[in-house]
Amino acid sequence: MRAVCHRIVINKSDAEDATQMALISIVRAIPSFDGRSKFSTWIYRIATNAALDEVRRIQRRPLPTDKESVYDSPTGDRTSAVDAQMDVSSALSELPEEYRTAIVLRHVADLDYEEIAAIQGVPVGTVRSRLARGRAQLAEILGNQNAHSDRQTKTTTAPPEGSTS
Amino acid sequence: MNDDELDPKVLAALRDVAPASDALRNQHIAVALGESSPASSRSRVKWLSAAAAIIVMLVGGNALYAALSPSSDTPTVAVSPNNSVTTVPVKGSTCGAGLTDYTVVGTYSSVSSAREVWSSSRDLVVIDQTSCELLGTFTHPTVVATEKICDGFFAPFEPGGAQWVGKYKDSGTTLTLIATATAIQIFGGPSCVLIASHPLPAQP
Repeated sequence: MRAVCHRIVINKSDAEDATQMALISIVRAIPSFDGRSKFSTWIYRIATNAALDEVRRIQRRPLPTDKESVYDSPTGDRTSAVDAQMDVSSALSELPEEYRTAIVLRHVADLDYEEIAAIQGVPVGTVRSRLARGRAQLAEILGNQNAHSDRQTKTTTAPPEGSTS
Repeated sequence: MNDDELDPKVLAALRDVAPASDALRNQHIAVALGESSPASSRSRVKWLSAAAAIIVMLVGGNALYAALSPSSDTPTVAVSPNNSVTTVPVKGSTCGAGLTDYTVVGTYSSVSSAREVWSSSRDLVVIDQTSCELLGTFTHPTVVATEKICDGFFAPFEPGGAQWVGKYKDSGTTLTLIATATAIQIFGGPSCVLIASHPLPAQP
């Protein structure tokens, strides 16, 4: 649930706020859970709504410029993981909200199409389309980022024109 | 890679969210269970709690004043077509059109007839459309101010029997009414949760 909030909201601090609001809502609403959906789907629905609320609140705010405060710090190997993590976070932030939410619910929360459709309030076909477009855009953005990164590496490491080495 | 897969490296990065520290986890749990924020970094939660407390005091103060005041101008909810009409009823909601200071929230179907729900600054009323009988009067619940509107939230539940009645505003916050076979329910807040459930008379 926390991962869903982090991946939808992107900004670390705001994602924690969303997680907190989601937990409060869950505690308050547990007595009214009627079992008509799976408990996990119900939890993810609340987490998604809390995260989207947070996204809408911060849309009027300028983003901080330092990446560490914006993107989540990964676990494991710092060097490659940090790069991959920041690339993915940055790419996710460029996706339209509905695509990002569908991608996160599918690939982070492991929900099936019907569950995502119930949470997003759209038909299954729309979920399928959002996922396909979201994945395509994500790949395109990440491809562009990698190309840009490669160009920067070549610029900084290539010897000056005309040098003999 | 089929259509439903992401590049494994992207997928791994996507799922690699740093775990919360013990302190943060404990804080989240404590706040959720206590529904109050001990940390200054959660200032919005504190602000919302303060706003809710103010609303409770204002509503409670008005209710206490109304209850203690002997004045006859304390509004009484009654279904009388002879009262002055201050709202324009929507199609299918005619019994409550005579209520002063009430606006229609919506209508829904019960087993025996249609029902109307009307809202004023004080309460909600549910009226049987066939007999124009007042089925219930419910004081507004305490609500936490939020910009969230529960549009589309209930669509998946509708096949189960609950009906979407309509939306109304209370203290500047939009709330959603859902009717079940036995109760009228109020949903709202940042995550569209059940705020109040009012039982209604059993169907004949």
